[in-house]
Amino acid sequence: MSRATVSGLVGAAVQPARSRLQSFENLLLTQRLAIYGVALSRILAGTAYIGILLSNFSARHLLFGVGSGWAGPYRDHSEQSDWIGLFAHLPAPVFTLCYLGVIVLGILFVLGWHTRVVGVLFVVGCVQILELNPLVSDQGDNVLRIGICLILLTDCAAFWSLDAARAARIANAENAENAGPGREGSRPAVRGALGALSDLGAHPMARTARTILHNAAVITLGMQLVIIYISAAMFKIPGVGWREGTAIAYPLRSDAYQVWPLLNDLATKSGIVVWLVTYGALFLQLYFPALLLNRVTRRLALVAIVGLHLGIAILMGLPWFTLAMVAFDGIFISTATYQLVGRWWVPHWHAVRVACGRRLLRTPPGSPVRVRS
Amino acid sequence: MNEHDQTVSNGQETQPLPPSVADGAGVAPTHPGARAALWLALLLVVAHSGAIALWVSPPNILKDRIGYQNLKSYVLPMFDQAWSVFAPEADNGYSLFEVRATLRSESGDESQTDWVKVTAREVAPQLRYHPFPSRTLLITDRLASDQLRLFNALSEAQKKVVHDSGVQVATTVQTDLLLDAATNDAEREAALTYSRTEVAVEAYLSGIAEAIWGDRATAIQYRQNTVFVPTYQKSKGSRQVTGGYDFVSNFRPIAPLTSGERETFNDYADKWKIR
Repeated sequence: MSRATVSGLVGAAVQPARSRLQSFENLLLTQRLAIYGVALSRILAGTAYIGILLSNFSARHLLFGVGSGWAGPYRDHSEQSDWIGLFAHLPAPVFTLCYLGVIVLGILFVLGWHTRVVGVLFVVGCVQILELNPLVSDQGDNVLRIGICLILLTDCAAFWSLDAARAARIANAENAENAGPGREGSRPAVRGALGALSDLGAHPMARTARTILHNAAVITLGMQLVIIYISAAMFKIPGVGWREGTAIAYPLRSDAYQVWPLLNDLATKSGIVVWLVTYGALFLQLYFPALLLNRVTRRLALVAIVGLHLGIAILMGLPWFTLAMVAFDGIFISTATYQLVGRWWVPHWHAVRVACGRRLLRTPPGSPVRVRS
Repeated sequence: MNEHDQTVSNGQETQPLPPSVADGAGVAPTHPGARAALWLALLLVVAHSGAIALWVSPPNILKDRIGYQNLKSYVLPMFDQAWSVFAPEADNGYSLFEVRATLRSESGDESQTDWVKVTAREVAPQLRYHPFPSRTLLITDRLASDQLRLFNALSEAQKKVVHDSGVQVATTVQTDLLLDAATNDAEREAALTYSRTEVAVEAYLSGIAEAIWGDRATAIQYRQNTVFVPTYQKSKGSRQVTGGYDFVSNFRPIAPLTSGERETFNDYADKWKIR
C-alpha cells in the first residue's frame, strides 16, 4: 500500500473526529450554553439564600449576632475563619440592618437588577453572615456559595431580569432613533468614558471572551453537580441500610426530621416503597451523568431528581438545601424545553394579567383592558 | 454574524434569541486566539473539576498520591464541600442534651434543680409542622454529638482528667491538664479540639441555664444521650428508643455572659418555652 493511500485512509478516519471537534469549538465560541438555565438558577439560588436568611431572622442574634458568642470556638477554627468578620461583633441594631440589607440585595439579585455587582455583594453578605456559625451550616450553604459564584461568571441576567428588560428597552430606543429621518448611523460627537468602555465591551474579541467565560462556568457548574451526585452515591454504597434498601426509612422516622409525622409514617409504612425509594435515590445519583446523555433519559432523570429533592424538602424539613440543588439542576434543561414552556406560558400569563386587570378595574368581560407588555 | 441573528440550538431545534441576549456576536470561531483561549479555559475547567472530584471522593490511591495538604490548599476555603451525607449509613438517631444547675439563694444556701431536656424542648416544637424551620433546632443536637465524639477520641488518661474536673477547675486549666496528659501530637490535637467544643457547649448551656433559672444559677451539669430509630421493620412502626446516658459532666462554673447574650437567650427561651 502506497504512502499516499495510507495517508488518505488515516485522513478519512480522522476527518469525522476533526469535524466534530470543529463543531464543538464553534458551539462554545459562538453560543452561550444553558442561557435560560442559568437565569433560572439565579432566581432559585437567590431565593434559597433569601429563604435561609428569612427563616433564621428571628434567631439571627443567637445564631450569628450578639448572642452567638457561644459559637466562637467553632467560628474561630473554621476553614472560613480568615474570610469572615465583616458582620462580627456588630451592635444588635446595626447587625439587623446589615442582615436586612443582604436580604434586599438578594431580592435585587433574583430580580436581576445590576446583576453582577449586586450578585457579588449578595453572595459576600450571605457568606459573611452564615459562616459566623459553622456549627449549624450545611452542604446547601456550600453548594449555594460555589454555584452562585459560578453563575455570576455567566450571562445569568439575559432572561427574566430587569437588566434584560432594560437592555431590550435601550435596544428598541436605539433602533427607533436610528430609523428616524437623517439619524441613521449617526453618533454623538462627544462621548464619555462610559461610552468608550461600552465600545470596548462590544468589541468582537470581548464578546467572544465573555462567551468563553460563560460556557466555562456553565460546564464547571455541570461538572460540580455531577461530582456531587456521584460522590454522594459512592459514599452510600458501603452502607448496610442502602444495600438492604431500608436506608431512607431511618431519617424519615427520626424525630429530628419529622415535619409532618403522619406523612413520614405513610411514606415509610410499605417496605416495598422504602426499598424502591432507597434504591431509586442511590442509582439515580450514581447514574445521573449517564442519564443526561440522552434526551429522554435526561428528562426522566431531571424529573426524578427534582422529585427526590422535593421529598427531602417536605418530609425532612430541608427546603433551602433542596432549592439550592434544584436551582443548579436547571442548567441541564435544554433551551428548547424552556422555549416550549415559554410559548405555553406567555398566552396563559397574558390571560391571567388581563383577568387581573379586569378585576382591579372592575370592568365587565368583553371590555378592552390595557395590560403593559 | 449579526447579533440579532444569533441562535441557540439544543440539537433538535433552533430558536432565535431575543435582542436582550444577542451579545454573542464575537470573532469568527476560526480565530486562533479565540480557539487558544477556549482550550485554555477548558483545561482549567478540567483541572478544577478533577481537584474537586478528588477532594470529595472516598479515600483512594490517587488522592493519597496527590496528598491531602495539596488538595486542601486549592479547595479550601472557597470550594469546601463534603457529600457523605446520609452515608455510609443514613442518620438513625440524634443526640440530646439535658442540663441542671446549682442554685444559690440570697442566704447562700445551694440546691440542685431537676434535669431539663433542652434538645427535646428545642427540636420537636421548632420542627413539627414548620416547613421552613430555623437552624436553632440543630444547635444542641450537633453540640451534643460533637462533644461525645470528641470525648471518645481522648485517651483514657485524658478522659480521667475530664471526669475529675469540676467547678473548681476552670476550662483553661482543664485544657492544660489534658495537654499534660497527652503522650503524642494526635492526643494533643484531640485535647485542643475537645476543649474548644466543651467551651462552646458550656457557653450555650450556661445561656440556657441563666434563661431558665436566672442569676441564681452558679454552676451547670449536663448529660448526653442518643435517641435511636429501631431497625426498620414494617410492623414495628416508628417508635424511637432512647439509649442510656453516654456522657455525664461534673458541675462546671456558669460561663460569663454579656448583657446582649443574656437578652438573646431570654428571648429564645421565651419563644420556645424552654424555661
